[in-house]
Amino acid sequence: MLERTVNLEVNLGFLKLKNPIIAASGTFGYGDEIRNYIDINKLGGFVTKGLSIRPSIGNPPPRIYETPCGMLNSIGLENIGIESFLNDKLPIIKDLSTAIIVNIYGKTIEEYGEIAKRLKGIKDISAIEINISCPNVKQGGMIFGTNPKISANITELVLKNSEKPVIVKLTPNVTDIVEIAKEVEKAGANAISLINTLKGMAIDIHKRKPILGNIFGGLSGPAIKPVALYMTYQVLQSVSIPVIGGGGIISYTDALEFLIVGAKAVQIGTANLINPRACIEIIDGIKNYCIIHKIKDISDIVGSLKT
Amino acid sequence: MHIIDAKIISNQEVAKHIYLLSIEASDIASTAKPGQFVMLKLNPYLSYILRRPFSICLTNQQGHIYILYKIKGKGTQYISKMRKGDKISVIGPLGNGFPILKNYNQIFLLGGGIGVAPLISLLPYYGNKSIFIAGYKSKSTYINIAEIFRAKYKYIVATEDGSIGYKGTLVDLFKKYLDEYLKNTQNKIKTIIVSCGPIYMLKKIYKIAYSIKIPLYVSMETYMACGLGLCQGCVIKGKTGYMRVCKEGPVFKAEYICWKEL
Repeated sequence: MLERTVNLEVNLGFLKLKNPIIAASGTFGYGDEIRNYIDINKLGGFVTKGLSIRPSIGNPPPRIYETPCGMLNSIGLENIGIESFLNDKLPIIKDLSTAIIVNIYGKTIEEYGEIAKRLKGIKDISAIEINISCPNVKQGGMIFGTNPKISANITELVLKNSEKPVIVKLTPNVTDIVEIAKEVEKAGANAISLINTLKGMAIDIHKRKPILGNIFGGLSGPAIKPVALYMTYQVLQSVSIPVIGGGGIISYTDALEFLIVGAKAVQIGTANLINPRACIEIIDGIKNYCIIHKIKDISDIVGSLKT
Repeated sequence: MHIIDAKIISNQEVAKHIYLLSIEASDIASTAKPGQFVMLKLNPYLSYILRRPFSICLTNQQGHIYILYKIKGKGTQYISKMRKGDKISVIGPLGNGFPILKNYNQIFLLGGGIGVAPLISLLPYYGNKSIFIAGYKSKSTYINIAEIFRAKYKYIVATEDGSIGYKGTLVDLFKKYLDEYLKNTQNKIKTIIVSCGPIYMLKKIYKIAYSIKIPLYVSMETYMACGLGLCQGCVIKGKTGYMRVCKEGPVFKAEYICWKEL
C-alpha cells in the first residue's frame, strides 16, 4: 500500500509555509475576492497586489494581450494604497490560515521605507515582498531593480523600518541577475523571489500602433518558464538565502522543476488567471508525485538536482 | 461562480462566421442573470492560454446555456471546431448583468452585429415590452434570432447594404423609430435603452440617449485575462476611475463611462 502522508511544509527560516505554493502578486488581488472562489487556506501563502503609499490608477487600457504561450500586461500597479488595504482589505483576510505577504512599491526610494513603517507590528502580515521589478511604471519598480546599489539601499531601508522579514522580487530585465541577487543578500534580504515579467510589446498591424496603451508591457506565462528556471538556477548557485522561484508555472510538473533546482518555494502567477484553482491543483499534483515516488518530505525534493 | 468541465450539446453555424454553442452546465444555468458572462477555456495544449469571455444568451430548464459567438481570432476559431460531446472548461456566471427593468414600460434593445448576444438574455423577462433593433453589415451575417430561439417579439433589422430589412445603420433606423415614438411625449417616461455593439455605434447611441434624457445601459467588451477581478487587465475609464469590465461590468450605466477615452 502507498504511504498517503507527505510532509509538504517548507521552512524559509523566517517563515514556515504549509506547502511551497505561493500565489504571486498581481494575480490574486488582495485575497478578499478570490477567497469566495477557492479555499485559500490550502495555499502556502499569497502575495498581495503591489501596494503604494497612495492609491495608484495604473496605466491606460488596453492592458493585456495574449501572445503565444503567454500574455503581456501593462496594468501599471493600479492599487488602492496601503491605508485602504489595511483598513478595508486586511480585516477580511486576516483570519486566513495562510501566509499573507504584502508586496510594496514606491515611486521614490524613501516611499519604500514609509510603507514598511506602516506595516510594522501588524501581526497578520507574514512578510514584505519588495517590488523593484515591475516593468510598467515610469517611476520606481524596475528602474530601481536594475541597479544593484539602489536595490540594496531599498532592501536596507525596508529592513530598518519594519521588523518584517523581507523578500526581494527581482527583474529578469538585467544583464546579470546574479549581481543584483548578491547585493540584496548582502543588504540583509531574508529571501529572494524571481522572476518578474520580461519586457515585451505587440503591434496592431492595421492601425500600426502598439496594442498596449502603455506601448510595452511585461511578458508572463509558460513562454517565460525556461528563462525563469535558468535564472532561478543561476541565483541559487550564488546566494545562500532562500530563493522563491517562479515564472510561467502552470502545472505541478513546472513547480517541481523549480523545487528540484533548489527553490524552497514557488510563486504561481498567470496560471491563477486561467484557472483560479491552479494553486490548489498544483499542490495536489506535488503531493501525488511524492506519494508515487515514495517521498515523505518535500525537503527531499528541494535542491535534489543531479548534474 | 462555478468551474465546470461541461459537455457540449451543439455548436452550429447560424450565420456567416457566427455560431451558437450550447453546453450542459446546470449550476451556471440555474444561477445566471441576464447580461452575465462565462469564461471558456481553450484546449490546454494550444499556445493560446487565456480563457475567452462570452455573454450568456439564454439558459433553459434542462440546465443548458447558450452562447452566440463570432469567429474573430484563433481562440474562437478553435471553439467553432468543437463538436457535440466534447468537454470544455467553463467558469461562470460572472460579472454584473443588466439591472431589473420591470418598472419600464418600453425597452429598446439595440444590438450591433454579434452585440445582439447579451441582449437576447433579456427577452424571456421583458420580451413583451421590448423593441429589438439589430444592425448588420449584410444578409450573410444577419442573425435570425426569432427563428433560432423561437422567440416572439418585435425584431427590426437594418443592414448597411440593404440586403435584408432597412437599408442603413442601426443608429439611422433607431433614430427614425425614436422620432415617431417620441411624438407621444408620454412615451419618454419609463423608457430605457439597452445596447451592445461596436464602440463607435455605442458612442452614437449614447449621444442620442443623453440628448433626450432616456437612461442607457451598455454591455462592454475588452480583452480579458481572468474574468474574476484579479488582474485589473480589462478596465475601461469611468467618471470616477478605471472600472473592471469583468467585475463592475460588463453592463454599465452609460453615463458612468468616459466615452472620449474609448
